[in-house]
Amino acid sequence: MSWVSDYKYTWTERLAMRTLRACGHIPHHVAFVMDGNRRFARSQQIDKIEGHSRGFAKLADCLRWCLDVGVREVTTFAFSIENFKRSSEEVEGLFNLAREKFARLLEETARLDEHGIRIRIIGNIELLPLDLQKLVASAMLSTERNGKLFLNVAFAYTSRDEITQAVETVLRHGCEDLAAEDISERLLEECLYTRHSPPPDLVFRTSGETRLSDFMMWQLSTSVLYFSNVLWPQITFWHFLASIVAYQRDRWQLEDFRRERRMESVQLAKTSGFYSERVQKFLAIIDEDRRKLLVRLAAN
Amino acid sequence: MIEVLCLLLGRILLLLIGGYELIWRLRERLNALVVRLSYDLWRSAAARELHERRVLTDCRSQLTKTPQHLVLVISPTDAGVDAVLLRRIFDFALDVGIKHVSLYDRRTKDKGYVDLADICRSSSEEQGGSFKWPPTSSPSKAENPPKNGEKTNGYVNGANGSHSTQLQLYQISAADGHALIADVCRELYEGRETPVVQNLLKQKREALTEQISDMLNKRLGFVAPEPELGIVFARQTCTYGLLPWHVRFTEFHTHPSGRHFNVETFANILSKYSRCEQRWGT
Repeated sequence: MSWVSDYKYTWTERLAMRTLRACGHIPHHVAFVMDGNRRFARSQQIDKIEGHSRGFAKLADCLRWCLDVGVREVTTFAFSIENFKRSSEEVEGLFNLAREKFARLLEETARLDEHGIRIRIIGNIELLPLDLQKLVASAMLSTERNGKLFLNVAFAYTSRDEITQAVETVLRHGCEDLAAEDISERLLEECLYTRHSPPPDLVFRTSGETRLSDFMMWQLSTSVLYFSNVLWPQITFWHFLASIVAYQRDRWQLEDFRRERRMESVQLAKTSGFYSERVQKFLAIIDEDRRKLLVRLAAN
Repeated sequence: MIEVLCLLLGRILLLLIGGYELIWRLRERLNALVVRLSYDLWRSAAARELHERRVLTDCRSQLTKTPQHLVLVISPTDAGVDAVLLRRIFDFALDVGIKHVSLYDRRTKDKGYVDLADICRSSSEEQGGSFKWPPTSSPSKAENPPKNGEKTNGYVNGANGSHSTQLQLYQISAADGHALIADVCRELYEGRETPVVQNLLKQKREALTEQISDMLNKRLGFVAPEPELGIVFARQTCTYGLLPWHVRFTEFHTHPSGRHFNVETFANILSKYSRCEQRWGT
């Protein structure tokens, strides 16, 4: 199964997609909490790992839909740090699935280049087994020049760990030039794993749960949250379109709030010296260190 | 040709959505008016109170778990939530055994912002102070809160039965979100040469997480577990920047602005919450 599926649209789906693209605002960044793989497996009386595998197939469909409808950035919650608490059999099964998919990704980089897809893994990669770290780092490096569609896969991720990592980055790397008054939420935002991504416009969670399960808590303060009862492997193109329509309906009500937040952020960047040479130098160091880490992991 | 057809269909869709929204709002307003007339105005205060007690007693007997900490999120454009409604919600919460309620009102003063101090002042005059605000300072952690990394990840999976006579209230502001985390980071950075911070950096990341939690709770004055249930008063679900550190496992329920909120609504939300199962990653 490829990372971007060859989904065949029916004529009604094609017409609906064109209609939505013609009439309304398409979210730039959509985040998916892919919940319900195990419940789906139970309902179909298949193995849990097969449920996760079907879930991945739906992610490939979803990426195709996003690409075609005009979404430019997709973030998916694939594996939480909390999931390490599951049975070792299931965790190992999930890692094997990830190994298979990332190995496949490395084989089909030409196809990803063709679509301009860049893969970024957000999370505490160092918690993963070494061979998986290598695959993940290689996947990120091999697609780093693409810029048409960004796919961020949250793997070994929790938001709390991400925020702690941002604080830790400031404490470890900021010793030389950074002044205490340079530290603001604007700076911390740039130390998150999602440094180069805009916040999600729409967060789509399946399986009827109405919590966020420690996913992108920092970033989603202005996002439209859309909860659907469908289990992830059962998601269809129409569920996806329904979320886009819900976003188009709701976004205008959040527009003033978003504008206000953007203005506050710009103002804060000015007053906290975010554009000063020392802060920009600090951020350049972080970028350099993160890339060095990837190169090191890929070379292991 | 297809493009023109799609554009036309798009316009029709927009009109339909707009029309639906308008009808929905009118219906909700009308419904709220009818409910208020039949429910609030045609009953005496005593009869209403008796009815509410009965509903809440029924509700309490059916719940398998009750949140200890409820957070109310009011969107910047909401016009339906006022001090009177909030007082009623606080009464309901007290009745079902919720111990802590946080209020996150994103409105400005001229758009209906409610100050908890006013509610608590009038409460203490009328009822002898069922609501407690501001929170007592001191302990920086919840009452016997589970520690991070334990089974519940700093959360408790609701409580059952225990009844409190006083409700602890917290007013959350926009500055308690991202800015407070930056504030904690700044303080740690200022003390980066101290053995405490150096020691934290040598340990696993969880130690720093725990330290950040403690410092945030101290700043918020939280003597409560993290909110387990959130009611968002808005047409759409959004956190509006509510406590990004604390609401990671909060179950959100959206109550559309303009719809009447009464004891049955509250009981329904609690019932839904009671049916939710937190899996804590397992």
